[in-house]
Amino acid sequence: MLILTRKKDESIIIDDKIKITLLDIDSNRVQIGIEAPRSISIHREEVYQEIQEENRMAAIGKINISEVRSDLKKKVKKKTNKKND
Amino acid sequence: MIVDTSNFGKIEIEEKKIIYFEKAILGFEGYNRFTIINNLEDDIFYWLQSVDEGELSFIMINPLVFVDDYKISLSARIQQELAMSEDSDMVIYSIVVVDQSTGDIRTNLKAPIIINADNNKAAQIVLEQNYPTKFYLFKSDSVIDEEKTRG
Repeated sequence: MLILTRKKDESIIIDDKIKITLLDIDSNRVQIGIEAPRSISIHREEVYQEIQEENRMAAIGKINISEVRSDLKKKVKKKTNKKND
Repeated sequence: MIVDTSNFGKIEIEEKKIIYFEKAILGFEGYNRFTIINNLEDDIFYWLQSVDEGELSFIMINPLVFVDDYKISLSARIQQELAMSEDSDMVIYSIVVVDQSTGDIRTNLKAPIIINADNNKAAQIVLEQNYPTKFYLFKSDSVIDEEKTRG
């Protein structure tokens, strides 16, 4: 890992087109500004961890498929029957 | 090809029915080939079955059936990875979690599965929009009431 030291309002440029600026520093919190082309996707790491966790929970090994199907059908209705708020 | 699955038994999968994940399902890197099983008279649920691992499958829904204003925008990079053109047909699914302990059923709207129907290239993408990773399709009664009042 490359480690750089930056002060408030200083920046880092990555690959000529991504600019990361240190906007504010608190005792244990920093605010980071990111300027990047639209094609670059930027997310907090927790989002990825959460998605991985959901995916793992979603992965089904051996289940009683007819039981699960009837359970799903019973519980989940299309939006016409869903709560109407 | 024949795949021995734990939930559907031995199934014959035609080559053209194989979906290839250019960007893997997060946490399942290395499992790139899947097929969708939807001929089980289900009108809501789709089963995403791994072609390479018979014991791996997911349940999916079409989120557009459950969320009125579900809009997704694909980055140029994803469009490129899935070789999409302007008139490509795109199919959207979201992965369903059946919580065994509570019986709750939820789906992940933050990271849908996108498939280019023209070439069967797929990806799980992470949307920038503020959609929940846990969108409940079914919750135990007390919590649903809470949601209703919050409306």
